[in-house]
Amino acid sequence: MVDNGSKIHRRNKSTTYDLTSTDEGYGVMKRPNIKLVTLGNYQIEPWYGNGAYFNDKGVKKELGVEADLHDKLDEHTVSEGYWLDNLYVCEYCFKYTSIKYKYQAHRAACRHNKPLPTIGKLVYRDDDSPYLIRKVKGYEDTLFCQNLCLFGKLFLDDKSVFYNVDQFEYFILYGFDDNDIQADTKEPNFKPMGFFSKETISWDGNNNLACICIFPPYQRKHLGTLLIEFSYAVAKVTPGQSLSGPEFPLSAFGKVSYYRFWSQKLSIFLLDYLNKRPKFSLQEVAELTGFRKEDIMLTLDYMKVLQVQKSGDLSILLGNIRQFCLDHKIDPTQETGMLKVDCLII
Amino acid sequence: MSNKRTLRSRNSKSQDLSNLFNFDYINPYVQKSKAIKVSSKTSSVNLYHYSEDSKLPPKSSTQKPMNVKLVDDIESPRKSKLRDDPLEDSIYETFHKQMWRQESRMVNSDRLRLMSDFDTLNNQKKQLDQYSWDKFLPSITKINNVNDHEELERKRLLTLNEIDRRMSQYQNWKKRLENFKNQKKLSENSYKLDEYSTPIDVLRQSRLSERELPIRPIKLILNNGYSLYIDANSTPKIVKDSNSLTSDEVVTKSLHSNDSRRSKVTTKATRNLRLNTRSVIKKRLIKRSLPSKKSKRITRSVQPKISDILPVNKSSWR
Repeated sequence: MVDNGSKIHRRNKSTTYDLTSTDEGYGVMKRPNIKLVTLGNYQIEPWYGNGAYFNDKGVKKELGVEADLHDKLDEHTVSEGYWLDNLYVCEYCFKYTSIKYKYQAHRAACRHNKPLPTIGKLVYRDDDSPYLIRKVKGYEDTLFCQNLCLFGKLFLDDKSVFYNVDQFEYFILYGFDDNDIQADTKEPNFKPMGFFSKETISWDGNNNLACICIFPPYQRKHLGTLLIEFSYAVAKVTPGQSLSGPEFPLSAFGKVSYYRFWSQKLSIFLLDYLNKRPKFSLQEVAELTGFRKEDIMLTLDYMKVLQVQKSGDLSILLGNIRQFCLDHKIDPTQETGMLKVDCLII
Repeated sequence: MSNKRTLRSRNSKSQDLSNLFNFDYINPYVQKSKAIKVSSKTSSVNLYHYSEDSKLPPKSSTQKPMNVKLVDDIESPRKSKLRDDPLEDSIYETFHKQMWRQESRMVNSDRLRLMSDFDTLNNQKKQLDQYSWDKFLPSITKINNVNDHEELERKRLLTLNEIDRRMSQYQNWKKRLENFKNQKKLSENSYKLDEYSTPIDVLRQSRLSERELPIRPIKLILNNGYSLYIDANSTPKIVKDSNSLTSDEVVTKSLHSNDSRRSKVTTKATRNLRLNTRSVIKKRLIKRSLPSKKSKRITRSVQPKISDILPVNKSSWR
């Protein structure tokens, strides 16, 4: 299969770089190497490993930033198969440590621990939900972005840039934590709930998203859909990205999220657009939706709505699209989405 | 479709074709926007299959533990009792810099590879422009029958087009990289509107004007202890700047400079900057003097009176 979106070289996200001595490489670790991560008041089991937190010097695996610490507590016990039992990560700035009392002290001192976030630039403000999205540039708030990437890797299976973040922009989603509201002790702060990154000068100029992650305490709220929709809204105002999509290859989670998103949007669009039309081209649909032609074709294949005619030509079966909507509880008469266009500040 | 979207075939039956262009499987619907007919039918027969990628991964690969526990033994001390942040930025500096350098090497090697690929494409183009292009074509593009002149001619054209496309993609990328480097050097607009109390319409209009005027704010060091801030969104301002040297300091520094060549270069660069700045100011003046609706709108929106801005739905933020 060939494709116009090809390029001379594409850095394979699974390429292993010999930056640590792990067999699995820098960006990819098959199993978690940290047993538990504490984010704010949440204790979470990481989904994937992250070698980039660690120093490779010596036999003992220790956090790179704590390798030369003399006041480190020696009673660190490490369970078998792990490099670290507990990593403490600030819920506001993602600074990390393996030392609990430092983490406790930092939480109160953190300059990002305030009701409204101010890092980067506000690009989405939903006063009602309420959700905020802020754009943070890698070369402006480098440490914040590095720590965000390092933390994000614990829930992303394939990520290879953690430190050289200059060429990336990060879109951080903020919202109120339900537990803070319930606690009712003080006015809740907006907290980072997830993010997506975007390469500013990617080789494929049509990539609107490099990686996306919603942190486990805030999952199952359709926040991933909100960020995906937002990535297309940003692409619309980015030169050269009138047709855009995520960086390929997609991870397993990426596939599930994007196919759900694309199929939902395309079903509603196509049932309306193709009504009383004898034929159409992928280019037309691409221009009207902002999706790339290859992504549309992949989605139509996933939805099983294209049929090969005796002549060898293709037909789209509207009956199959309606059936897909029924099976997936999509109301084709109602435009669904999390993003409120009126809240965009881009 | 393969995982990596590429025109390079990865079929290696008889020879290593991984580096050859392959035009045998061009999808007419994706590549050539061939029309697709619309039918109102429902059917599960003869369904079209585009790529293995369109299948969802097995459920097991997307089932992860949702073990999220609330813990209460990590309460922080009161802010008032706190003296220092034990996790200051400086703690991360050494290790992160070291890792940044290692990742940079990786990025640089990628860029070198891109440059080398560009050279290869350039050479291939030259070969295909030669009289004996048919000798070179099979080493560049997958050819099924080297004696089929029609296939050779057709694929030569396709290859040349693809090489041109890739070369222009490289040039485009290089240009974007240069722009990005320049953008990094310029400071960000420091005259921000209050993002939480300003109405969204006003903020949006301000962002729109930022986009329409791609020139970023300029800080012109006057070498008298002051700097001139020129921003399309506001009136130019002269501000006191500790980084700006006084004229005496400039003379002293210049006298003490050991590298006269460098100082000449700097002078030339400063002159160029001033010339550029003049042309930028001139352009802006011309733009502002145009009696267009748009310019009026921009001017109005970027200078809102703070007292005029009503707080929006503030109760919902707290």
